[in-house]
Amino acid sequence: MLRYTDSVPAPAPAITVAGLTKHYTGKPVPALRDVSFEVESGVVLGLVGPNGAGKTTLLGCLLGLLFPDEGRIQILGGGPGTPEVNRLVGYVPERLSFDRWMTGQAFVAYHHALAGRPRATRQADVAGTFDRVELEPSARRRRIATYSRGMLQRLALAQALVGKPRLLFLDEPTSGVDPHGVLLVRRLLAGLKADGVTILFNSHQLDQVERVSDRVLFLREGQLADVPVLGADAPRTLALRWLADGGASLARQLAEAAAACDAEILEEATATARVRVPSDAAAARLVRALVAGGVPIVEAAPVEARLESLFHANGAPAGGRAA
Amino acid sequence: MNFDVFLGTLRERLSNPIRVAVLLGLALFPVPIALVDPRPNSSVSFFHPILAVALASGILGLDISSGVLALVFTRPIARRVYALSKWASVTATAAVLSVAQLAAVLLILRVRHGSFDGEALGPRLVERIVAAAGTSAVLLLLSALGSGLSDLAVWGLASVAAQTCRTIGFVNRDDFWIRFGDGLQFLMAPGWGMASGSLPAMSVPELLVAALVTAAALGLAVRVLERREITYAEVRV
Repeated sequence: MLRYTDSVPAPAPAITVAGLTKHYTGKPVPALRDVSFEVESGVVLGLVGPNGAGKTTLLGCLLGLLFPDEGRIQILGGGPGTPEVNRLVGYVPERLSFDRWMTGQAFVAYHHALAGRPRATRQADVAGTFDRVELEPSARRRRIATYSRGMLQRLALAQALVGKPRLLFLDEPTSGVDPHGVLLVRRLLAGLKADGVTILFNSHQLDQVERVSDRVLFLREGQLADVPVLGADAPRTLALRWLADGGASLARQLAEAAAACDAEILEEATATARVRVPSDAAAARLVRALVAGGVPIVEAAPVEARLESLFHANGAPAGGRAA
Repeated sequence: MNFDVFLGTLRERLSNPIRVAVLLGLALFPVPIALVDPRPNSSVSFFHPILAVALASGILGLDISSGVLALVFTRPIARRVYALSKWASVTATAAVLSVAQLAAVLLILRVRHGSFDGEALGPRLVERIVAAAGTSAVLLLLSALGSGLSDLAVWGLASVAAQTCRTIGFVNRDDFWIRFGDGLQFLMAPGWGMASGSLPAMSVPELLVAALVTAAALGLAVRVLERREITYAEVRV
């Protein structure tokens, strides 16, 4: 199988950011303020936050397209934007504005050359990359100007992957893509992660970020708000439903079980409740305790994605979207 | 120099049918003049730096406004190498076109009218190559400072201003305005006119100044590009 990274191990951590501050001329508030974090090699890092949080600015600084006022960035042991580091980096921009006069094949071959890959493997690498992103052979020979949004997204992925990066920056890779494209991106990311590629994934779609990320950076007003680890130890909200004939004793049992499991009852009605549990283990203990206590539970399900809970907990308005 | 960028630039420049049509029109413009007018100055002194302008306009600005530059600058290629490779590509193409135009015109003058002094060929050739390099360098600098085709607008305005100053000078018989206009025109198209008039020998000081202006424009363009932040805010989709 064609692998999308060379087998040279990358130094750990893949990204180190310390005290990053960035102002834009004419703007009173800095776009980034004293942002510090590290990303280990092989990790998929999600990047979320409300509009104007500074996510695009952070990506720009990490790619060497924007210059920070203060702070230090190290990418794979080097400075951002240097040719040595860029040799190991791939980037899928949010705005899919490419050389529209080129064919898809010529465009990816051009980026293969710019990435410093050997000419001898160009044809095979380009064809293999197109196969990987599932772009039809007939489409590869068409001018980019004729491409649909979904085809442009595949082309963006192809140009990012053709250089066999060890670090991949994805800015909204599933925006405007059909479900088949979303599944493709998810499959690709899983394959890249298995190959040890470090991925920084910025997306509006919290469920997508949650599905593919090991960790998430929450940015708010240019500052790092939280660095939660996604997994069994993250809090979530459960919706409980039981047969409505237990009266007040069920409510008392629920309160006792919740207290025993460090859970918080957010909302309670005759036969339903919404409970915030600190972890999957706590959720399991709560349901076990309720069933053991004779509560006729008929449903226990998460009411929202874990990341969405964290997003709201970090100050985003209810019903708001990351941007 | 990066040969992939060199070739990519040439293909990109010649992929635009409007640009190709303008180039062909400009390249062929002096040919009918040479066919009917035996005086060399009528056809040979055509304002050939316009070929470089047609080729080089938007050389970096279009990459900025299309978003291409943000992708290219995440590749392992130094910004200065990218800029200089693009400049070399348009300079080479403009010089070839300009020299081919000169050759065609001289051939017509010689065969049809027998009216061209072959000894002036050398200075004419050097002038055309220097002007192609210099004009492309100025466009590169203006393009690095703006986006889209703003370089073409600035270059055009400066050239009109230069011509206006010269006209004012001639009307008022004021040397200052004539020289100011000449100087401004020389800055926009370094080297042009070094071998003009009645086919004199080339002015070496003028050649040196043209080379200096070209080098300064290139140096400044590279410096501007290396310090320029690339954002998608400038991208026009």
